[in-house]
Amino acid sequence: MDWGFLFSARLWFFVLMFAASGIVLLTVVWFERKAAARVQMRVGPYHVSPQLGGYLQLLADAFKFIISEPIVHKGAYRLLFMWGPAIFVTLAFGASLLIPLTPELRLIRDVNLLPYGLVFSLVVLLLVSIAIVLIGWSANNKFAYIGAAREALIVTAYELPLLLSFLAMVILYGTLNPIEIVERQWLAGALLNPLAFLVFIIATAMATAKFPFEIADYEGDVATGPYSDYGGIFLVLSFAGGAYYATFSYSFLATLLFLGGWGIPNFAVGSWPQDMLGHLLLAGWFLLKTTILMMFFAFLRAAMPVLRLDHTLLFGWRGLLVLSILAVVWSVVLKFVGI
Amino acid sequence: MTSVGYIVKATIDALRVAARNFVKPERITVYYPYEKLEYVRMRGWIGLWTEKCTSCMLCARICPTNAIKMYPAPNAKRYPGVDYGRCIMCHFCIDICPADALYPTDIKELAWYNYREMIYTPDMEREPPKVEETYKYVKVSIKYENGIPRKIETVK
Repeated sequence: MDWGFLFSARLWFFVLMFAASGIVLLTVVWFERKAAARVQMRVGPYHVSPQLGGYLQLLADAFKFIISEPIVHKGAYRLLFMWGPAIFVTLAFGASLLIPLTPELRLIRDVNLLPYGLVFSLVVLLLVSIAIVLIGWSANNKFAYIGAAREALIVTAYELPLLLSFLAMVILYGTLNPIEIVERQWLAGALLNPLAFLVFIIATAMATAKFPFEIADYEGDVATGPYSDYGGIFLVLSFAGGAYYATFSYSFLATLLFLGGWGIPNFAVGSWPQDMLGHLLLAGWFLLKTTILMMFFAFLRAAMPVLRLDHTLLFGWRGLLVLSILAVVWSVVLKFVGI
Repeated sequence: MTSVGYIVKATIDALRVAARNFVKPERITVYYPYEKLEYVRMRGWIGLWTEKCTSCMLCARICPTNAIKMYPAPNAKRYPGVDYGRCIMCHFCIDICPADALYPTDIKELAWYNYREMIYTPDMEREPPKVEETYKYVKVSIKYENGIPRKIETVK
């Protein structure tokens, strides 16, 4: 039997992404709970494994969620109610699979198709909000309905600035190919165009319902909004886990565009099966930066209050849109100056 | 109308305060079985000296939750028994008792397996319940310094 498939770059990419994203997710959720607790004079998860700082509490919670009975209530639209979380998590995580982890570890084998993969990952990410609206509609509950309506409104606030900041970086690099984008970042993209980075971060916080913009599923107003009727595995796939997968994909994209992706200065990597360690090092570096970015989003929970919906919309249209247009102008100017 | 600069400053301030607390947390969590809060005054379990009791029933009348029932005794008197399922430890009964027959304790860590065990008869009121110390613990207290609460270990 031929064991060559064990060194297939696509297999390794797939396994790495699944394993690493799971670990990153657990770490970020743990960090979110611990950070919020530290700021709020509490301790946070502690009693399950005190030596590890309560890290295993997350596994215990996940186990509890998975074995608890998923309830589909009377009056829900069964089909969408049950498939909504699956659609949600598929879209949220699938987006990150379209971006290469290192120059050779990637799912899209054809180099000429990589630019489409980058654009398509952004499109898939923006479809997540539609999955949220589907979930909210199918639950047939007024809180879920209000949450879904809020989510639909917030999309109008962040979608255009997000696309414009993406456009700004694409203009700056002059290419859509992720490999070339990483090569062009002699300085991290966040320093080349800080405005676009700021807009992308704020729009990501809106898109993934991070704290100043946790409006669609804010517990104080709408009882976790679209997800209010979910429990068990549905909750894991949508609110308790799927939302973090969306954050992971957005952070992954942001790391590629703004933080230099897998690029380490003065480090050239060989071809895949021969220089395996080099590729794993690059992948680890990429995922480390992604984790740090996700931790920043998690940390916002400890620092920020929640904005009102109309204030958010005003901020989106009057502030963020103007900033993103300025970011595009900045990129065009830089391009003409010739950096 | 708040200016943009004010909003930006407020956002950065919020992040700064959170980061400071994150780096140097000021926790006031009391790890209960291993640490116990030291209260200055504590109203707890209510005891009874039946010899002093005059059966005036003022305690049963003043009780805001009707927790006290007067049990007939063989000597034709009536003595109070407290239902701790109802008692809110307000100690009104102790305050009103003209003969000082009821006495206060600071035993507050009370637990029962069954609600029937919570109903104390006068005989059971005579002896304070035994407190079992399963864990070694330290006494702590929360002190406020410039409006910031701090947990301080008090010497036992």
